Amino acid sequence: MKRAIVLAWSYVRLALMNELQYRVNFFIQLFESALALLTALVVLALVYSHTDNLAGWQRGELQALLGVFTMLMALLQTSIQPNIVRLLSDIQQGTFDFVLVKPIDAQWQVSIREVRIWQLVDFAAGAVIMGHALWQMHAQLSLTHVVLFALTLSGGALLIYCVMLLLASLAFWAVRIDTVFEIIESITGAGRMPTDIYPRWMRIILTFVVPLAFAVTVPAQVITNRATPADVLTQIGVTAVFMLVTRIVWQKAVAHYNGASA
Amino acid sequence: MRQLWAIYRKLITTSVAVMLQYRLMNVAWLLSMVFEPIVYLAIWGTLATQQGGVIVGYSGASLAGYYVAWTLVRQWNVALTPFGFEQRVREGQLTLLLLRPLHPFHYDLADFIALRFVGTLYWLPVGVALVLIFQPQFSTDWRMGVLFFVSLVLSFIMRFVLVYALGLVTFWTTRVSAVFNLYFAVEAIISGRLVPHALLPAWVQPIALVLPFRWSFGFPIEIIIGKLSIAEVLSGFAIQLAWLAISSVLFVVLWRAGVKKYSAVGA
Repeated sequence: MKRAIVLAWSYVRLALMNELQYRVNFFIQLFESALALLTALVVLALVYSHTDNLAGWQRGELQALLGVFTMLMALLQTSIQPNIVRLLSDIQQGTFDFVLVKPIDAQWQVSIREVRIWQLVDFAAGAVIMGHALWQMHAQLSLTHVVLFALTLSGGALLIYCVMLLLASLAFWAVRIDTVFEIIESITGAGRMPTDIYPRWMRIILTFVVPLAFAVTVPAQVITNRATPADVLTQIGVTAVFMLVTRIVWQKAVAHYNGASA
Repeated sequence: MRQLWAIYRKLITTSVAVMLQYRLMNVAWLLSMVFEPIVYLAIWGTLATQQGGVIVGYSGASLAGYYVAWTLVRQWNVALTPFGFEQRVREGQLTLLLLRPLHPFHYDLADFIALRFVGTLYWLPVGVALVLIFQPQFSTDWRMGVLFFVSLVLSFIMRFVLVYALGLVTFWTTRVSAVFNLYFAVEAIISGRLVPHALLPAWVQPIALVLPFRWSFGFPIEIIIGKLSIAEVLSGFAIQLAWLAISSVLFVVLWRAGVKKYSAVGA
């Protein structure tokens, strides 16, 4: 356990040292994050120029949701996605062998190898957007809210991680699955809006296939004081189930792996 | 001219044959474009329902029509982006293209025309599925169908030349991606991609009419859902042609000056 954490930390440090060499990238990322957020805020402004509530969501609440979505996507870009990309190329090229021969759990290893620190700018941007929304709503935040929010946000990130790794595990059987990821990525965009506004079939996809309903909506509900204890417990339960399933599928997938020369 | 036509035909058929090989990739590409409008449709559809079924002249069914037509127009909007052109300049690929007997523009245009055929072919089943799911409402006037197609072709050519011309800026500097990102963000907002023209704030609407964006995106869509009169459509064509002319001049001027300046990165 301790060894696993030390290893993860050294990967982070390595990434830090590597990326601090390219400081201009920070400003590029800053500009891109600002632009993406501005566009999203313009959409919000457009929507609320015609109404003051969208399917029961006030403007501030929806802005908080947008902040949560941005934060989760930042985590996805910082760590989950680059790791998955590397895993996929390892499987395609057979270099996954090198992962297996190392004396540390393979799933842990493939999940920590890559870190893109500049993407954290997006995380900060999401936090600012959410903070601004809460401030405007004069939200009264108790410590319980903050703790539960941190908990459900991490749960959301873990859920997204599970979905990505589950899909990546398919690559052990059907080597080329990049296309699947493109489709998933486009579905993900739907997460910036509350799932209440979508037609039923779309809600089902967003709940069970790409569980954004749990990953994004629940933390946003918690921080805007709209969540029931049942919402939080369901999210934690779903996350636990997803993690278990991911673990089982991953182990089956690795067992199926033949190696580069086979 | 006849010779050029023959070359185009050959280039297009070759491109189509190449593209048809990657079936799975085409399907994924298409599907990745379908979810975006569903999000917008959900937003505005929900608002329309909340306001008694109609929002600024758009009923739920005409909004559905708007965003189903959106998926086809989006297909026809794909062009060689400045990012693509920048890469050619930066990596020196352009040098090879310049050595070919025909202007590189022709090869690209032929490629993207081919993409229109393939894209539309793949779009057909998706379009049928979307129609069945969302029950959209289109114009019942057959003339609008014809005008829609004309505007679609015009919007493609116009945007293709315009965006290509913008890419030529990278002859002088290859670090302009931030500017292009800004350009495309503005385009997304006022072209009709995020929201129909009529739902934009009142002060933005006249600005959107002057700029090229709406004419390559929202305009064809509004024709097919029956929002425009014949006279409005015809004057729209005139604006599309005007923008095509402006873009062409811009292209020729930038190309002449740029190619002289170009010496391949690293040379």
